[in-house]
Amino acid sequence: MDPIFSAANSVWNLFKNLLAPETYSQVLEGGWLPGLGLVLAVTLFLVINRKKKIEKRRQLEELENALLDDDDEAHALDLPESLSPEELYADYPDDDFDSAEQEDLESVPEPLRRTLARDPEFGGQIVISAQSSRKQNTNQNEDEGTESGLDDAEPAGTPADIEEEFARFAEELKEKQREVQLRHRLEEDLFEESHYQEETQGSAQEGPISLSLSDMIEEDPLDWNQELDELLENPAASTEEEVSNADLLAEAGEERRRKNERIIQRLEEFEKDLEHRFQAGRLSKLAQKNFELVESLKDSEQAREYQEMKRRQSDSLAALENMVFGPGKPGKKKK
Amino acid sequence: MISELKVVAVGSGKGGVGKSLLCANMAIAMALSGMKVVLVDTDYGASNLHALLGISNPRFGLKDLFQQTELDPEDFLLNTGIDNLKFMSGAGDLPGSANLTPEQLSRIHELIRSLEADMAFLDLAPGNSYTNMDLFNLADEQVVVCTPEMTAAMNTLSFIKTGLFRKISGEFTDDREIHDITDYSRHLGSDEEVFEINRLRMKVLDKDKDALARLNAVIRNYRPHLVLNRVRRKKDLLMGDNVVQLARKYLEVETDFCGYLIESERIHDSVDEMIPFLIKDPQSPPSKNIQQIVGALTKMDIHLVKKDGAIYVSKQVKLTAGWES
Repeated sequence: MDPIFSAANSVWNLFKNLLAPETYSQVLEGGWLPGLGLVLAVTLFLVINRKKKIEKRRQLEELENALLDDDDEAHALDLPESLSPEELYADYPDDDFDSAEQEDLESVPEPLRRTLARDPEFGGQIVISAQSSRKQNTNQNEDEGTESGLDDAEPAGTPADIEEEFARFAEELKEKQREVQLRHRLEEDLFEESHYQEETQGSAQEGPISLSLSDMIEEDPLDWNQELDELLENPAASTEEEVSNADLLAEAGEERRRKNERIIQRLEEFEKDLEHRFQAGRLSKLAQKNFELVESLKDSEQAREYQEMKRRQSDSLAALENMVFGPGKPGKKKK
Repeated sequence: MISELKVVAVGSGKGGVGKSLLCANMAIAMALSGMKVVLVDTDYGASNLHALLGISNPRFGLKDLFQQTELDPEDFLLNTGIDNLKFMSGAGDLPGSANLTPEQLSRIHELIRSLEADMAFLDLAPGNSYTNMDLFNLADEQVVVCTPEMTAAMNTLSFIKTGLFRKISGEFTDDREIHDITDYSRHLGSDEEVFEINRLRMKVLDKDKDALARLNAVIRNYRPHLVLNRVRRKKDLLMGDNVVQLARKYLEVETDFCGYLIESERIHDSVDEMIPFLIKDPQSPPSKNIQQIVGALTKMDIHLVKKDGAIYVSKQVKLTAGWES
């Protein structure tokens, strides 16, 4: 027998025995001790399991906190708790580290310092450049003729400079972002406009709005906005454009009128054709109906004849039946 | 050759419905189709079939059939002038000649069964007499002739019923009790209810179970053909249908309505001229009716054409050709 099935069967038998009234007393007498033991074992198992879970959760929380906290993070990365400037620049070849520099470094705001330490894209680079410039400064004393790229043109950056540079860079980014957003918005507007023109005039190549999308993107959005602002402020200044728009509108109107006329004409033709077809179809249907009517009349005449024949047959059959086999037949017993 | 003989009896419950005419023309059609046919006039006491064939005075008559016992059956056969067709006359209108004794009847049966022919057509007398019924039941195929009149239909049903019960009675000659039940000559004025099929069944069942099976077999095999004569309108055919329906309903007899013969002046003329209409004009409507009837009976398609005084026959035999056993 299948072991699973046999196990299930034994469980089922157990339950059946438990439910059987004759086994109640037996179970109550002999089965309470194992039952109690079972309950206790289950409770113990649950308690131990719960304890383990609590412990695990605590460890996880600690780890999470350690990861979130900077200090803890420093601990986790085995960084020194308080790194003094001397210790920080101990490996540097020059020893002209002064306390003013330390003060400048300390004057860097805490969030910025964190960013500088963490962000490899912005702050990290700046830190590296600051460090490299610092190194370069030290190297310059040893070897005047050594070139060291872009950083050479710039003076050695103080934390204030770095902050300023970063702020400028952030500003530039924001500016770029605004530009991109503006371009996107313009693109969308122009796209909608061109669509509208295509729908209304059938062509997107006419008028000032018929500039291609790429042309518009190529234009400086600032200039475009400026023009729009000027237009809004002084509408009279662009009368020439207004006239051209009016002409275009008039042309479009004319074109639309002609188009409408053509459509009306086609509709009329279509209507005439449809009416003709409809009449032809109706005539055909009428002819068919007429034919069917004649046929049905013929049929009904035949049907009437047939019915009449059947009636006669039925009558004669009944009469014959009555005469040959009926109860009124002479010699037949009356019931 | 005797085993090859097929006997067709043409009877009716009423006189004057056209039995002789139909019988003669059917026999002629079969003879023209190439079969060796004997036409037997068994309408003893009112024999006139010879007149329809153009024979005014037959050489042998009914009297000769019983008196000249030394002659062979073939000696009684008369030429008709039609190829393959012989005639056995029953002429002799002597008083009482219609009432044949059983011995005389047996002699007739013997003569018919000993004929060397492919087919024998029996022209019966009208009515339900035992003599008539026995000759009718002697045949392999029974044809009942009826006309669209109500009286003819009534007599036809009575004829079928009598024929059936006579047949049943003949089947139970070994069982006196059942034989007596089905012989109504012993029940006159008493129990007429017995002559309903289901009541007869109950009676037979009370006596013998095996007898019931035999009875059912007789009823099942009793399948007379019906021909309606003197049809003038389409609705006249309904009478034939009525007879079929009632025979089925009350007698459980499946009657085969195999054709009809229209009322025609040609038929009257042919009788007057003593020339069968099938010979006179094989393409006339009544002749075509005869061809259809014969075709339905024999499962053959027979077409007769007369050209330059000669009759040409085309016969198509169906795959299931032959008489049904």
